[in-house]
Amino acid sequence: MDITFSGSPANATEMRADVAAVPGVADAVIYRFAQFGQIGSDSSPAVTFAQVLGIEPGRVPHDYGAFALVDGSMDLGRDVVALSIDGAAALGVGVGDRLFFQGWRQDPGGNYTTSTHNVTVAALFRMDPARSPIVYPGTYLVFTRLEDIGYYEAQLGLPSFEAQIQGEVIVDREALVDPYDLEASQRNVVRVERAIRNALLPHAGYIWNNALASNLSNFAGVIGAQRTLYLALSGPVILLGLYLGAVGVDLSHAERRRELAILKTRGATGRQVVGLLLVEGVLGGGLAAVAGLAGGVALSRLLLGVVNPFYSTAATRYDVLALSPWTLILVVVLSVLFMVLVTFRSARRTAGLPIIETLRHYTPGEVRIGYKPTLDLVFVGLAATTYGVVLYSQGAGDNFLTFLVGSLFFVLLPFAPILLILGTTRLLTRWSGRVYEWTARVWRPVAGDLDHVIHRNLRRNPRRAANVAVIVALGMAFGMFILVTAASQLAYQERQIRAGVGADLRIGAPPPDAGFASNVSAIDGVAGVTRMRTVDVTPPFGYASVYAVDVATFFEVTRPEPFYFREIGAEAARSVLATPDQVLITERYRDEAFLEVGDRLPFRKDIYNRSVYEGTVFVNVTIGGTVRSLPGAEVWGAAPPPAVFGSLETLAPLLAGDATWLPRADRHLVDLEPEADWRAVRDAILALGGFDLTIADEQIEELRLNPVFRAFVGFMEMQIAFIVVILTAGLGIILYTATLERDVEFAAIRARGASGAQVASLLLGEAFSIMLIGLLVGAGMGTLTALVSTQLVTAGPGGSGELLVPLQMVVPAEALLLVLLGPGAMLLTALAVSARVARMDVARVLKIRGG
Amino acid sequence: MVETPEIVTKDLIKVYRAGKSEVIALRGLDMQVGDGELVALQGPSGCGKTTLLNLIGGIDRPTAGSVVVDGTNVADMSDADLVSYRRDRVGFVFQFFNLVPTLSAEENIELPMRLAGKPSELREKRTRGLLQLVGLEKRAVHRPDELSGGEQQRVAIAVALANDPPIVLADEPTGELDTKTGEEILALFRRLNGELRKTVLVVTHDARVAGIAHRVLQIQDGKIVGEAARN
Repeated sequence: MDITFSGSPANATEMRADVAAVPGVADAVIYRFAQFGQIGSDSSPAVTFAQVLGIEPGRVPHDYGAFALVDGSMDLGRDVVALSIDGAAALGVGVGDRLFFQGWRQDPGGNYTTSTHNVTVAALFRMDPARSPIVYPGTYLVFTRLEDIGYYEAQLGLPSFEAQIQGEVIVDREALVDPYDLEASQRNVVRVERAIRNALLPHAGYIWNNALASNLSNFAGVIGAQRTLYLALSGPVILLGLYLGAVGVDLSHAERRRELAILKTRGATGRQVVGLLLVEGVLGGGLAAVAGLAGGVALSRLLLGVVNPFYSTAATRYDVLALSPWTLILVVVLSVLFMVLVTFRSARRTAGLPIIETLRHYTPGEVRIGYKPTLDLVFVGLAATTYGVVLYSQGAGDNFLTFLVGSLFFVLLPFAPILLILGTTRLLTRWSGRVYEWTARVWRPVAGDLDHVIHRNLRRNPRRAANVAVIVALGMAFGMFILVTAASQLAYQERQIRAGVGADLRIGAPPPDAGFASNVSAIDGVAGVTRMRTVDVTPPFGYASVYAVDVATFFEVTRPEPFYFREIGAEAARSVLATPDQVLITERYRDEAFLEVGDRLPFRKDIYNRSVYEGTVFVNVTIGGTVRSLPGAEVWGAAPPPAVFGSLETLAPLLAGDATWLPRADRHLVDLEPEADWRAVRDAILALGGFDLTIADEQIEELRLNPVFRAFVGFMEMQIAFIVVILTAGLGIILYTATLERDVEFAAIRARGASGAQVASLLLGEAFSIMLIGLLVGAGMGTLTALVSTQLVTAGPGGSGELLVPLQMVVPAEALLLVLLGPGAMLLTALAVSARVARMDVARVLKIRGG
Repeated sequence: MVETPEIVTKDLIKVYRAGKSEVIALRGLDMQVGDGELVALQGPSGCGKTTLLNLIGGIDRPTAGSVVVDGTNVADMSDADLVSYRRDRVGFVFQFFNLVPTLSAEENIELPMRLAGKPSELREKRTRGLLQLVGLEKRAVHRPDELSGGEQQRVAIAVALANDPPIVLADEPTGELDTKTGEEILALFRRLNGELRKTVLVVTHDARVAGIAHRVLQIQDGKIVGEAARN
């Protein structure tokens, strides 16, 4: 509900009507809690807890979830009530059967007496268990008429207490809330709240919570944070584009140096040449901004439904384009600024070239650019040291050295992959040309005996080749890192969910039916059922939860993963549990309570039967082994819990007495068949009276449908798609411009007897070599960075200890697809460029450009 | 009258289209060059000399007419056949050398043989022989930017001879060279023709070429307008 309020019970209906009449209110519901909370039946004289609510006819509070009438009629009256179906199953009643309310009161002497009042069950209903706030088993829901609550209280002899009426308001969100205009939405909601306050005044009512306003405020904060996060995450793509742009500008100037030299022979000054190139740069920057923005928006709209596997049409209303004029202006200004910066540097260099050297188109000498590996060695060393120190800090625990040094290197950690890629790629491509020989050799099956031409051509302009390789490496690394990290995180969360549930499905509150487990086993799709009970006893040393399991079925049903075991395996653990008077303890309990295998654990428990002391039981067990944990144990955070596990037989004496107040004290873990429909199984279990179901697949589905998660995954996949597009288009342009520079060379080779395919194979070989280097470095570094991140997370935050569920690196199919498709797309672009060379008009090129 | 002509052009026409304008480079040029002849082509700039060379060399296609070399009309060849023709039948020598800048002298010479798929032993042997022919054995491992203009042109001639073509086409081979170097190049062409029996066609402004040519053809406005034989 959006807004909750309270008011006087006098004229409650009128109060509700006044609130509902406020413009902007879609619905208003009122209800009243009863002072008593126990119910019983003829079939089950033992009373159980219940939440008794007085409601208006046909107006069930939204806070209790989705309501569904199962049997009977909600036409309630005096002494006629509606009961939740789980309560009906527990009490063994149906429509028309008798139910009694029980109340406790204290007399002046301090003694407690009970009284009961009979009612008739007129309806059975179900509330959607996933949304019900009632988490404790044995606490059921009863609806009565609002005006009868006082009557029941009087019948039970409870002191008169004019409990406030509770109310819920559902706001008309369609009309008042627009996530694209949060300011207006917040204003609307606040104004509705004020109007409701005014409506409540005559009824001594007040609003005690406006959840919708809080949510909108939180949403504004989340959106702001998301924008910042996404902008930061866009950084690598933006940098990639900028880097590519800089290389492209440099190349375009190099390709035109002869033409610019001719301008200078006609009298143009260096400043005029620079000015000319700057004007081109500014215009280009403006055009690029508009085209880029249009293309980027169009591409992201196209990719929105393709790259995000969780895309749902249910939210299409909020998939509108939000593009403000300021965004356009900002993009144009930034684009022009960038182009000016890059163009200026390159233009000055080009304008400064000696005229005669550039006019002699042949023979252009090999570009001899001095290279010193010092800086790149520093980059690589710094990155490697950063990773090493950070990992050491995680494992070594807290000390002054790790605090001082570790903090420093944590600051460098985000930059470590970039330094590693830059340094490694440049060292490989510029320090020694051997790597080009190796990559050209890989291309030999295509180029035949011409591979030496390929690596010589790459060595002619090592800086350009290195720049392109760095671009490819950065793009691939980013893509690999994101895909591997996201897949690893998702797999980790799914395993965490499964570890939390304990099996495929957990029934937290089974009915008191001895045949329930076998009935569940008989459901189509169920492979096995096992019982696990939380024992209501305090261990003799330290603190730990105590669990009793059915050894015969536990391991088959839960199929514990290897991470649960360390010092002994699953079979040994089963053997310990099967041995009478032996138990397993978790490593955490062992360490916190200073225990060892072989130690005795003397349990003691006072047994009560409905507050009546029946005696004390003593159970002595021996620690037979240690495990990290077992499925079904309550998971506290991410660390393994302190716990003791014994068989139902060994711990049987401790199981006597009421333990129903413990959440999921007696639960059943269910293993589903591989292709089973969990929804059908869930419905069948509910029909049998099972309650508080937790289904691993359902939770995983909800995880994947979480809007923030979906948005993040979709955004990251779109980033990767953009990277591939940028790399493909950018490399294509760079290759194209580079071939323009070498037209005469290719024409001469064609004139001397090379076929178009042979010349194309040379170009493709060069592109392939650069791409191979970039791919190996990028994919390798990306995977390495993901692995290190995984290790860091697995090590856990300082002092927290290791995680129960290990975070393992998962390389998804999309990552392999990136490794294949990314270079594949780039090679296709290179093929298109080389096709131009293969089909060139040799005579025309030699005539026009050959001097 | 040329005996057993190797190259025969008949009514050769080449029209270049640049936008809406047309340039007629050759206007029905008839020519015959015999086997083993050294013929010089002279004429003013824009008369069609280089165009004629390009058509004979299979680098360009005529608009009309025929270019028959050893009985085969080059104009009718497919693209694949032209590749083979350029590789095996014709060697081109350019005014601006047009060597691959990243390869050494011997690698440049070897390149056409690699393109032709010749085995490595044959390539090495022939490369050594050609370097010896052009007198550059000691400069084999130097790249073009480390060679003088004359040396580059000699390498270019060796490149043209790599696959032992019967025809050598040279477009202003001495245009970028000084007098002395030019003479050295011309001497080389004389050897190609005299000793190796290559049919050589040279486009040139250089009057000294006339001194070594069997015939000098004058071209003007896309047609042969005169012919002079060496004394």
